[in-house]
Amino acid sequence: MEALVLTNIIRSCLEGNESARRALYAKYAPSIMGLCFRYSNCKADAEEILQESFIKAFQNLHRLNDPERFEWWLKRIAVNSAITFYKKNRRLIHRRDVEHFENMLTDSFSIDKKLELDEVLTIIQRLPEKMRLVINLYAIDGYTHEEISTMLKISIGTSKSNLFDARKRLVKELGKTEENSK
Amino acid sequence: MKKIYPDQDIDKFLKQTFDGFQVTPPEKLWDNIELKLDDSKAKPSGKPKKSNKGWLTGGIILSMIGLLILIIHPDPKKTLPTYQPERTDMAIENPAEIKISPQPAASNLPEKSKIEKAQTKPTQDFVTPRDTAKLFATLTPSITYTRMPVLNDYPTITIAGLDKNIQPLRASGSGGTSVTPLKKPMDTPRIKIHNGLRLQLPKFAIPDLFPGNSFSDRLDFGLTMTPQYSSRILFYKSLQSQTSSDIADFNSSEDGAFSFCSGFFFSFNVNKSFDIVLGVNYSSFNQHLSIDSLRREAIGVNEYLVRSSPGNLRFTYSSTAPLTNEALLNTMLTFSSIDLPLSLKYRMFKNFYLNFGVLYSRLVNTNINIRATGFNGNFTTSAISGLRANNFGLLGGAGYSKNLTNRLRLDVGADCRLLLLPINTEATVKYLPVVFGLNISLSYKLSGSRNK
Repeated sequence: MEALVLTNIIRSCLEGNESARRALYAKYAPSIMGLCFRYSNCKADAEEILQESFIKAFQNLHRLNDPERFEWWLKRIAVNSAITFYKKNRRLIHRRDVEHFENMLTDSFSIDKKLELDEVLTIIQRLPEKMRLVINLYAIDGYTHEEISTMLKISIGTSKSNLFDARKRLVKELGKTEENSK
Repeated sequence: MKKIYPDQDIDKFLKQTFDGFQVTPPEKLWDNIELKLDDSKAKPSGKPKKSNKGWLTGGIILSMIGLLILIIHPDPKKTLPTYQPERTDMAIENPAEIKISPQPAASNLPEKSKIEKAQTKPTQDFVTPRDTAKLFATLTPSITYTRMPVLNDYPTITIAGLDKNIQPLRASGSGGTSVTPLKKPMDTPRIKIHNGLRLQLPKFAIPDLFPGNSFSDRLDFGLTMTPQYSSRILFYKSLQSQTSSDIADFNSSEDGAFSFCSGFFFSFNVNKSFDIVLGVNYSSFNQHLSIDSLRREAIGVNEYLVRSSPGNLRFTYSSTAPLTNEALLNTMLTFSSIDLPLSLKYRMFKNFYLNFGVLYSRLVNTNINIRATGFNGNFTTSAISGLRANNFGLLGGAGYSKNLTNRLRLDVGADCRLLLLPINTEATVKYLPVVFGLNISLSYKLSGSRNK
């Protein structure tokens, strides 16, 4: 039933229906925004990636063969947009103070979960760019090292080494957070 | 935090933590997206169309110019021979007596058979020497509109600016520009312009030079290229030291080297099994020497490799640093020659052949290049000698032939040349150079077909 609704919304979008586009955005923007937060290190960047992702998605909606896979397709676009954003701005990116965003989280999370997410996300956002990209791609989004090496134009070995370093740093930082909370 | 996560579980932990992770984006973002979508909607419909119009106009103008040229200069081939009556310088005495004949006199008319022959003359497949003078070019602008639904949904326009036809080779070349409005996935619309040149050889034919001539039916003309390895041995003993061990020592100090031989040949087909081949080759024969000057002097082969004579310049080692006995010489000798091989090719089976014959070789140049290390440091020097010499040799080999077309044949074989090359030193020393080569030759049958 839901798939049918989605197919109709996408068809309406293709016909130029603005309210259909808005409905699609309203449905998927929060989860894509979450993804963008993971891949970026500040709110402004996340917003830019989100914006870019939806523009690309709407412009290429006619290329979507299977409407039921829209969410997967949109996430892929968002990941690619994040990588493009990283590549374009790698010289400009500097370490910024990470903003706490627990107030922006949707109400579906408990307060404990919100705090935990906030802490883990803060640690991830403090990781160097490549480590952050690799840990997101591999551990959370399920890409393989081969795919990551193609996407980031790095060798498989570099991808593995970045993942190793990222894990190491995450464990260390999570350990520190644990001690502080005690 | 609930617990510290071990390294192995960190991926699982992250996946669980961010499962269903959602953040509400600010309201203004949708407005920005909508605005940008509206902008991008307007852009592609404007730019490429405008660009296409320009190219289309340009193409139409070029086509019209081309058409005009074709109308002004019609193809001269299409005009048939017309009858021109002969002019007579007859003086008219009484104009009233002149009878006007509706037909020209029969004797003035060309023979009927000649006219028919001229009118029904078939188009020549091969070019004649007279045709070679008829090089001409035509400006043939054309527009090709290509739609490529597989690659993208946008049309491609190709404008070929100039077509150049070279009559004798039946070749044509063209240059042009293709304009492709591109709209890649996840990218902004843009136009790809590709400029290119193209050369086409739709028909290539070499004329039958001697049609119907039984002698030329047996002639082949060919080009040959032989990468070769050459080596020589000292075999004549009239040195200060004549012991076998010294000679062997000297020979072991010399190494062969790679070089090449190339040229052309004529081959006459005597019968089904035998061909006589006469060639002219330019050959290079290299030799690498590594012997210290002390040993060289002891054997009697000192620095003068060639006996000086009015015809032969003497070449010596020249260097910026003095040679010492301890200096290790590292020398490359190069002998260049023009060779005239005359051989008999025996075809054993359909494609395999044996080749044996004699060789006249005219040594036209020698070059010596020395690299040495000694007490006085490293140095490199080279000297060229005007050495001239006439030599004879023997040659033999075997190979495999492959007919590429009715006329073209490729021969690949191995051959060996034994040069009786007397390279004189201060002492009388003779060398026996041996050259091994991998012979590759392409021969063209001047008339008729190989597949008869």
